[in-house]
Amino acid sequence: MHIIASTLVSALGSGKKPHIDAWTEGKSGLSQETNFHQQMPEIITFLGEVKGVESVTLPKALEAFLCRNNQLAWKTLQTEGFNNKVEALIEKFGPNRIGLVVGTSTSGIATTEDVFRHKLDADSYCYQKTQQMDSLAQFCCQALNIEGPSFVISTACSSSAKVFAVAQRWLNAGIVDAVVVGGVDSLCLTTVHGFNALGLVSSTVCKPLDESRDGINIGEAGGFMLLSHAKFSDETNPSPVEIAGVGESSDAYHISTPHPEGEGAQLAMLAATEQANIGIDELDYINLHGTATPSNDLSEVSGVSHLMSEKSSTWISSTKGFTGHTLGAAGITEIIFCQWMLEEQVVPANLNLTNLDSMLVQKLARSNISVPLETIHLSETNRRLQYVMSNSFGFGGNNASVILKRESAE
Amino acid sequence: MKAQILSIGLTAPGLVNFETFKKMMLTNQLPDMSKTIEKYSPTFLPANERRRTTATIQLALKTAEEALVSFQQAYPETEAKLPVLFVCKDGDTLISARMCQAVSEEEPMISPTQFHNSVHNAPAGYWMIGQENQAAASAISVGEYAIANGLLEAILQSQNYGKPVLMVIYDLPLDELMPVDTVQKSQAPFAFSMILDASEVIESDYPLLSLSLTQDAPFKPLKSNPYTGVPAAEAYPLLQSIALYQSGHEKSDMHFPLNWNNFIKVSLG
Repeated sequence: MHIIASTLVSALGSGKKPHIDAWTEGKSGLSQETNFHQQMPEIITFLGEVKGVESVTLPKALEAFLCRNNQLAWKTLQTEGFNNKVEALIEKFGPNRIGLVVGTSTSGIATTEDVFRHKLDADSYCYQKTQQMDSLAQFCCQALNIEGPSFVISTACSSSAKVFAVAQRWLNAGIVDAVVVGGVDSLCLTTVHGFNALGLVSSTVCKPLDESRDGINIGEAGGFMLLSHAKFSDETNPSPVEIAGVGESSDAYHISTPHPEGEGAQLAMLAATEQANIGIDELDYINLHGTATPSNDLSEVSGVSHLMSEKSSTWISSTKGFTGHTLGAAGITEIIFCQWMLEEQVVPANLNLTNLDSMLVQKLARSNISVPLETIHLSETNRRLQYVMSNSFGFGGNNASVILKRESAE
Repeated sequence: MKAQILSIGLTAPGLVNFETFKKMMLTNQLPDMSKTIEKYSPTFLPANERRRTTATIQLALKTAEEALVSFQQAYPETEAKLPVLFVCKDGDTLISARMCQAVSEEEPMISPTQFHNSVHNAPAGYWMIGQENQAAASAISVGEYAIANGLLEAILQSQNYGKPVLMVIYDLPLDELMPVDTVQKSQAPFAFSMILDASEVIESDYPLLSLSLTQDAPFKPLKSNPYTGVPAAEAYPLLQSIALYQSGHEKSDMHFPLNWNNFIKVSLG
């Protein structure tokens, strides 16, 4: 599948440039003093907040959808001219020939929290257009005038990676000409308190793969991609990147703890490489799910090291130190990161890593895998990225891996 | 798009399973909706996991298990660790309402079990654990358009994976604590499941489903559906047609909305 357009808004900013700049400067979007912290004075942690989401206004016709999640969705659709590119394809193919499939874990639940917290009058609360799990798909279809098949996938933190498998199915079946995929998850109290109750929230900045890592920082993000089998000659600056493979699996192990050897993760990675028709050693880079909980990182690195042979010189890093864990939006956030890495030939640092956990060092000992401590611009080296993979794993033992390919190496 | 139905499960007040429903339809009886859904315990789960399941999770698991068990009886030689698709509009609103209430307290406390059960794919997660199944598992929400989108996605998945897919569509009324009108809190729960196979190589006593996309749905007087309310219950006329299919009563096409102006035409053959 070709990438016709993409857009991303995270704690690092809106669109491609601020993200690449932050990688280069090693600057995190995480903060311990955000607006959202005022709503949870009892919890000490860092958050990846997108500034100003609460003041985003929706068009009159879409006002009933007003909630933080749809405000972030609207802001993201307006970024990088994404909405205009969708509109151009609608004109070409008709609204029935464009599909939309998006992921979220908590939808607009913050609005229901506000009713319980007496910050919103129950009379002006509209469950169906805010908290209801398909609100994001309804909202985006109306905002973009899409009339093809559409739904929300909600499989916790793998939600917006699994959307790529649906897009493939629709395009392969010929029922659409293009698909908008994506995901949005926004800060809410239930997730912060819920992860905190599980002992998974770090009181410091999150440190994926580090020996002192002790949990996640929750972030929010919105991201969308416009995908098609065809390339369009009238495109300006077409991306040289395509989606080469999607793999899905289940752990069948525990509802909130990953399999210690990353068994399910391995199955998802293998399924993705099979579809991309490459060997796992051909991957130049893997964007880890890398949440910075002790169990996730150990499980995932175990899974990766099981698959890789001694000769595979692959970079791996987690970008959660930049954005926080954006949960249902983590898939799309990091898959768009992979697109940009291939376009710009950049390997982002595994931010906040000082000492690689000795157990992980052991796991990686027999491979040639390296974890970049600083962002690497490959133009200054003789190495190139051609195949990169993004991992996304969620509660319920739900796994998805997506492989992106740069069409022609320079 | 075509798929063979290989097995069916059904749960609703007054409906304990699909076989009972079929007998009722063939003898012209109506289900007794005043009955509550029978107590169910997912015995395929380890005891500690079983204890943690909620009414929402149990409704989905019971209905999934019925389809799988009859599939295993009919096709003992066929691989039973199938990809699964769970379709539900709201997820577990008993949990989401309690969590929203909890965060409004002076000292917010959410139970860890409640939190991990709150994910929309909790039934899928428990199902895969209980069945020791490492295949792909999806959980989607598509509001009132569950039947058309569920069938379409399940059939495309079966084409994609080259094997049968277990689809479960289940919905419950919104929890009484939710700040919404009483209508949405007083609907009847409804769940049905189907194992669908797009390869057309496995023979079955059930009819073949044919799906096509259309913008024209002929206006038809609504058949009486005692369960009208939650989106999953819109499958009632389809299940009725399947139940009566072999006796030659029902052969007409049905239209299910895919979204506000497109339909999926479903024919049995």
